Amino acid sequence: MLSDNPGLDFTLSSLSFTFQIGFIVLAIAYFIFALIIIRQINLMTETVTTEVASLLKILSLVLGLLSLGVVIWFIRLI
Amino acid sequence: MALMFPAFLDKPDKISFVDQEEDEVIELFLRRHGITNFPWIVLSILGLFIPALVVFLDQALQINFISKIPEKLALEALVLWYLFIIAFVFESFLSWYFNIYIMTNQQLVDINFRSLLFRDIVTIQYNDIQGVTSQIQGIIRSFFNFGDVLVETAAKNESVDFNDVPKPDQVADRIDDLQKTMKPNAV
Repeated sequence: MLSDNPGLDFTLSSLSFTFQIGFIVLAIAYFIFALIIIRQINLMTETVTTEVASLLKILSLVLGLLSLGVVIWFIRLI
Repeated sequence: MALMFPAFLDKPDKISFVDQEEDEVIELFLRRHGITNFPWIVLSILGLFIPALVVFLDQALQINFISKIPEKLALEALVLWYLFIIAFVFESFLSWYFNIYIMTNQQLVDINFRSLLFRDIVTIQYNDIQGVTSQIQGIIRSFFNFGDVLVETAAKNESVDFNDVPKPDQVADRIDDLQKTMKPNAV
């Protein structure tokens, strides 16, 4: 990745850093979205009780944990 | 999907809904026909292959852009892409699964989740129903036997639509029968 041109290297690393920050912001937004999904599924399963209600709740929790893991992982990658 | 998550349930015993009375029995439990999920399922499957397609095109057209992206960044973008697909699948499924039409022995219930946290429940008493019509339009709907049931109500002078439900003729018939049961003197 590194070139003989220090100016270009600086630009590339700045750009890379900017993208990484952007990805972290997106991952945090996704985590918030996952929390909303957990709340949404609670609301939905309170409204209509079906056989798969508990499965959906577990899946939403897994998604929430996964997205939190991604946020932590992205931060550690910087 | 139709077998795992049926769209037409006759007198289900393991399903209940909010505000259901103790003596209220669910006669029919409906949601949109499973085939209406086809577009988002296809989109999701195509989405799985988009990163591979981008890499393939990058190499085939000798653009070589991807090789210049730091590995960490490429990995992060890939993870975000697949998270986006998971979210899309989850939301599409939930939107289908929880938008429900219920016919009980007392009323019709239309449950809608219009956005992430907005719930809309419309109930119609059989006494308020003025007319019920069913319609199946198009080749796909005819082939899979699903369509709309339009319920015209007297109370608010408006109609409620059961969209894309399986066996719409049968649904309209059941509403008609239940309405007659509620109004035994009606012609």
